[in-house]
Amino acid sequence: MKPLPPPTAEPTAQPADKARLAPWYQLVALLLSRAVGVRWSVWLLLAAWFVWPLLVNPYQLGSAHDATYFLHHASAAYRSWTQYGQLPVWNPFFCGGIPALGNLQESSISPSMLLPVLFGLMPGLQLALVLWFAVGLEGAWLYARKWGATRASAVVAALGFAFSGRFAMLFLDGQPAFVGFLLAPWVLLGFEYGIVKPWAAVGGGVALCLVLLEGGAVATPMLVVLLGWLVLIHVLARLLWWPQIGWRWRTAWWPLRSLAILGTVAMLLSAVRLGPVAESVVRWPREWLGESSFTFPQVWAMLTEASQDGGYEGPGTAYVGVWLFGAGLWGMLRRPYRAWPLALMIVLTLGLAMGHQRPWAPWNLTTKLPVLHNLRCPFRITFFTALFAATAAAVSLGALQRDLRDGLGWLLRARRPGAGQWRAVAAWGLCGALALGAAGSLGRKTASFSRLRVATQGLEPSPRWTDQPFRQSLGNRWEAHVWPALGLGSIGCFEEQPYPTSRGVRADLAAEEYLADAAAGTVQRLSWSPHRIELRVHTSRPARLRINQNWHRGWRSSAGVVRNDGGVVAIDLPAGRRTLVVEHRDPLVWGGLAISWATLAFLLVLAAGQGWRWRQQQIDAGRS
Amino acid sequence: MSELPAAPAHIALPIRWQLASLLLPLAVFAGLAWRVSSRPPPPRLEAAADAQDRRFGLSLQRRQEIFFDISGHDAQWKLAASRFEDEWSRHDDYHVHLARHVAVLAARHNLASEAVFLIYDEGVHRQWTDATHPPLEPTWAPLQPRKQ
Repeated sequence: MKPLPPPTAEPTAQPADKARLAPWYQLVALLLSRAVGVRWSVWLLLAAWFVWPLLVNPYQLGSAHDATYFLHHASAAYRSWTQYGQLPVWNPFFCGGIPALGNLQESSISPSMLLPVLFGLMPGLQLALVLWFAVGLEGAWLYARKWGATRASAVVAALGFAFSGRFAMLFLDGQPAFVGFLLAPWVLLGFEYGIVKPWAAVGGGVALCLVLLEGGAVATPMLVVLLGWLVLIHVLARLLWWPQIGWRWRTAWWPLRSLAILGTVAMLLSAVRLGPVAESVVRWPREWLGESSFTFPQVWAMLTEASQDGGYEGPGTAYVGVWLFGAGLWGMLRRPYRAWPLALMIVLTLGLAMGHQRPWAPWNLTTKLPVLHNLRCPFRITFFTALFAATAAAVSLGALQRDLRDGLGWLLRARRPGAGQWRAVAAWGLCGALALGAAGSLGRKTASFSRLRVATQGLEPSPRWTDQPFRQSLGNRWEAHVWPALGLGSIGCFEEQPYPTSRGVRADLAAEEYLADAAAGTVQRLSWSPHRIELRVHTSRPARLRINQNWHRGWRSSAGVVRNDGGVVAIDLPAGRRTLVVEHRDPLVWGGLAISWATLAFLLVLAAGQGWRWRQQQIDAGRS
Repeated sequence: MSELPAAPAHIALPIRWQLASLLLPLAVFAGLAWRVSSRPPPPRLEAAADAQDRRFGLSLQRRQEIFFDISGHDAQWKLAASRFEDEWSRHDDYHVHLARHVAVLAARHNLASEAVFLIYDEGVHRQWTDATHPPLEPTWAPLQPRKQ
C-alpha cells in the first residue's frame, strides 16, 4: 500500500492520487458524501418522516381555518387545469369571481401544481410538501457548505432550518404557501455566489421566481427585505479595510450587480404572474394599518422555548433550540470570518422580528418604504433567523470536526510512510462520523419538536367532490374549500385584498346568464368553463345580457359590447339570434406568458451552453 | 495545517455515476407517490335529485326542514355578529355560526356536511319560505378585507 501524498493547497491538481486510494474507501466516500442522488434520497425520506401524518391520510387537511382557504384556491385551479384544460387566470368559485393569477396568495401556476394534476388533488398536494421540504433541506445544506461547513456538519443546518418551528406552524396555521420560505437558502446562495460570479445570481432569480409562483404573498416581500439589508451590509463591508483582506472598495458595487441580475431574472421569469399581481396590488392594495412589536425576550422565547402552546406568535412558534444557538459559539472563535457575519445576520433578523419596537428599529425603517408599508407579522422573519443560526451551528461543528481531525493527525502521526493512508482514513472517518452524529443529535432536537407539533395538528376530511352545472351560491368563507369541490361559487368569501365584488352577484337566480329585461328574448347555456361560456341568445330587440359574475377588464364577448353593470359582467346585444361566446382573456397574462417562456428558453440555452463548455473543460483536463 | 488530508476532495464521482445515483431519489419518490396515491379517495357525492325529487336520500319536505333550520337562525346569527364594528368581523362571525350549525345538522341527519351545504344552496335558489321563515338575502356585502 502506497502512502498518501502530503496535503496540498490545490488537491484537485493531483488526479493521479485517485489511484492510490483503496477502492472500497472511494466507493463509500463517494456514495455517502458526493453522490447527489444519495443525499436527495435522505432528504426525501426525512421530509416524508416530517409530514408523515399527511402521507398516511392524504385526503385529510389541517383543521386550521386558513387551510380551507388555500385548499379552495388549489381546488379551483385544479378544476381549471384538469376539467377544463385552462390556465387558471380567473377564479369564478370565490367572491362572485376574482382574479386567480393576480391573487398574491395563489399557487395555481406553480410547478408544484403538476403533482396534483398527475396524482390527484390531495395526494399531489401532500407529495408537493415532501418535495418542498427536500428542496429546503438540500438548500440549507448547500448554504452551510458555502459558509465553510463540512459535509457532515452541514446536516445540522439542513435539519435546523427546514424543520424549525416556523415550518411546523405552516401546518398549525394552515398556510401551505409559506413553503416558499424553504427556498430562502437557494435565493441567498444565488445572491452571495452572484457577488463574485454573476451567473450564480441567475439561479437565485429562478428560486425567487418559484417563491412568487408558490403563492409567496409573505415569503416574497420578506425575502426582498432580507436581500435589501444584505446588499447594504455587503456594500458597507466592501467599503471597509479588513485584516488579511485589505481594501475592496472597487468591488463595492458587486452586491448591487448581483441583486440586479437576481431581480431581473426573477421578474422576467415570473412575468406571467408578476403583471397581474402588480396590477392587483396597485389597484386593490392589501392595506394593513396595525403595528406589531415584540420584545427581545418574546422573540427569543419563540426561537428557544420548547412550548407546544405558543398559539400564533408565542413561545416555541419559531423553535430552533437554545443548543443550536450555543453550538455556534465555537465557530466564532475558530472561524471568525465565517461565523461572525452569520452572527450579524442573526442579530439583524432578530431586530427585524421585533417589529415596530422603536422608531429606529430595522422593521420600522423597512416599512417606511412605499411598497413595503403593508408588511405585517414581523415575527415571521424568524424563518431567516433559524437559517442563519443553523448555518452558524454547522460552521461551528465543522470547525470542531477539523480541529479534532488535526488533533488526531498529530496523535497518529499520519504522515509516517507505510501506514498513513489507513490512519488517515480512520481519522477522517471517525471525525466525520462524530460530526455527523453531533449534527444529527443537534438537528434531531429541533426536528423532533416540530414534527411532534405537525403530528398533533387536528386533521379533518377533505370535501367530497361532485359535478353539477356551475352557479353562484351564498357559500361560506369558513368552509371555503367545499365550494369548488361541489362545482359552485361561494359569494361569501375572505381575501386579503379588496377585489371589486358586487352585490349584483346573486345566489337565487334561475339561470346564471340572463337578460336584464326577461321579455326581450331567451338565453340558453351551451357550455360553461371558468374562462369561456357559450350561449345561444335570441333577442327580439336590443337587450342587456348579464353574467352572474363580477366584472373584470379581461371579459370579452364575440358580439355586442361588454359593460360593467354595477360590478356585474354585462353585454349589450343587438337584436338577433346568435351563438355568443363570452371569454375571460387577460392581455397582461398572455403578454407575461410570452415573456416568461422567452426568458425560460433563453436561460435553458445559456445553461446548455455553459454545460457544454464545462464538459469540454473536463475532457480537456482529462487529456492533459 | 492539518496533519491529515481533510477529505479526498480530488475524488469526483464520474458524471455517469452522478446521473445513476439520481435514480435512487426517483425510486424513493415513486415509492412515496405510490403510498399516497394508492389510498382511496372519499366517495363522490351524488347531488342530483331522483325521479321522486329525493336528494341525499331525503324527501323535499325533509330538505326544507333542514333549510328552515338554517334560515331560522339567520336573524340570531346576524344579531350576534352585530357586536363587531367592522363589516369584515361581522361577516366572519356569521360564517362561523353557519359552518358550525351545518356540522351539527350533518351529524344529526347522518349526512355529509357538503350535502347540508347543497341543501342550503337549494333552499336559497328555490327561495323556500314559509310564514315563519322569510327568504334569505341572496348576496353578501362587497369584499372588505380586515385592516387591523
